[in-house]
This record gives sequence, structure tokens and C-alpha cells, in this order.
Amino acid sequence: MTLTDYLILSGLLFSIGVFGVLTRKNAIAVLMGVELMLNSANINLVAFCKFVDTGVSGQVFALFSIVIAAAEVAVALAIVIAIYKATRTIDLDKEDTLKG
Amino acid sequence: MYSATVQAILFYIFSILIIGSALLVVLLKNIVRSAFALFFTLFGVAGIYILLGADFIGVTQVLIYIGGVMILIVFGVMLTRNVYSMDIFNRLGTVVMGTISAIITFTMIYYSIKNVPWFYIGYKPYIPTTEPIGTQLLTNYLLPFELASLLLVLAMIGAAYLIRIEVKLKNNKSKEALDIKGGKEV
Repeated sequence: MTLTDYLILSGLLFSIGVFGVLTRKNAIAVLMGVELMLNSANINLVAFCKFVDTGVSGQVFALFSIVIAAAEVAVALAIVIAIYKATRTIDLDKEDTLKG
Repeated sequence: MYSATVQAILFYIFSILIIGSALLVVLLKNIVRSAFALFFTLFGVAGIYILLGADFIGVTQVLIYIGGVMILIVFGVMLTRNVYSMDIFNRLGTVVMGTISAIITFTMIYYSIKNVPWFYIGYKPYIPTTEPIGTQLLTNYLLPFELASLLLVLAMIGAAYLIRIEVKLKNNKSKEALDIKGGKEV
């Protein structure tokens, strides 16, 4: 297995995440698409660490990325639940309060 | 440690697991099933990490993503209603545009990968990475390490604050109720 195989796998995963973010109506489903994209970026970091780097810097960066993703998902879900409490829906088509 | 054939077989097994369950995540109608498909995607990514010789990152993925993030997402699904009744997708035009965007994204990534002459350092043995990662975290990456802890505290406080906001919409004073002050009803 070479580096390009892992990069293509991560590219496929990223594209699927893009599709999910752009097409889903449910706010939590959009969040899942974002998680897919974050995971594909992490695969890239670890693959470069294996094939190109001599140390473990790529894995340290992947670790920080995982930590930040955890913080991001906590805040995002809090926002989603706050929106749900205010408007009783998480349908993104109906969340147009901020539209000018 | 492993022969090339075993590695290739494992790579394809994990790839099929990741891509198949990721497609289920974005295509399934029921959001709860999407959440459980995401479990398998995250497990497959952990397997890819371990295949790449990153044992610590693989275990961290299982602990944080599957043990933490997924539980949060499932809680989010359960705490919001209308999980079954909502249409899966936006209008048809949005689906078409989303498909085109995804295909364009993948084509760009694919040709970029194919056209770059990658620089390899050659074979890297499978060695435990916990000790070098710990050394790096407390020497070269000490400041990001401390900032990450600060970020986690801030995210925790922010999430707890956001979730406590009460908004009353039923009564006539909804405009006044939207004037939110720190968790108290106004």
C-alpha cells in the first residue's frame, strides 16, 4: 500500500462528507458530514506521518485535530439543542431567522 | 511486521467498511441509523490508523470519537424531536448540486494526488508511538498542548451555557423573551 492509496481513500471520504453537508436537511446530519470530513483530514495527517515524515509530528497534529473536533461537536450540539428549544425544529430550511 | 499482501487485504477491508458506512451516513433516511453507520465509519478509520503504525492515535480515535463524540451525537438525536418525520434531503436541485460538488471535489483531489511526485522516506518499522508522542507533546508542542486544555474548558463552559438558555415562544412576550440573559428566564 502506497501513500496515494491512503490519500485517495481520504479524498473519497471527504467528498462523501461534502455531499452530506450540502444535501441533508437535519442539522445533526450536517454535523455528521462535518465529522466525516474531519476524519478524512486526520487520515491524511497520519498517512503523511507514516510515509513522508521521520518523526511523529503528523500524529501529534492528528491528536490535536481530534481534541478540537471533540470541542467543536460539543458546542455545535449545544447550539443545535438551543435552536431546537427556541423553534421546535432543526430543519435547516426553516431556520431563516437570521436571513435579512 | 506484516507482509504486503496482508496489509493490502486489511486496507481494502477497512476501506470498504469506511466508504460503505459513510455512504449510509449521508444517504439513510432515519437519522438514528445514520448515527449508527457513523460508528462503523469511525471504527474503520481507527483500523486505518493502526494499519499506518499509529497505535496511540487509533486508540484515541476509539476513546474520543466513538466513546465521546458519537455518544454526544446520539444524545443530540434523542433530545431533538422530529427525527423520523423530516424529509431526508432538500429539494431535488440541491441534491443534484450537492452530487456535482462532491464529484468535482473528488476529481480535483484525485488529479492533484496523481500529478504530484511524492517524496518517500522508505520503510518505517512498526514501533510503539506513545513514548515519542508524549515526548513531543511536552517539548516541541507544549504550548498547543496547554492551549488545547484551555480550549476544552472553554468549550465545556460554552456548551453548558448555551444549553441552559431558556426561550419562551408560546406567550406574547416572545420578543422580550428572546432577550436572553445567562440561563434565567426574562
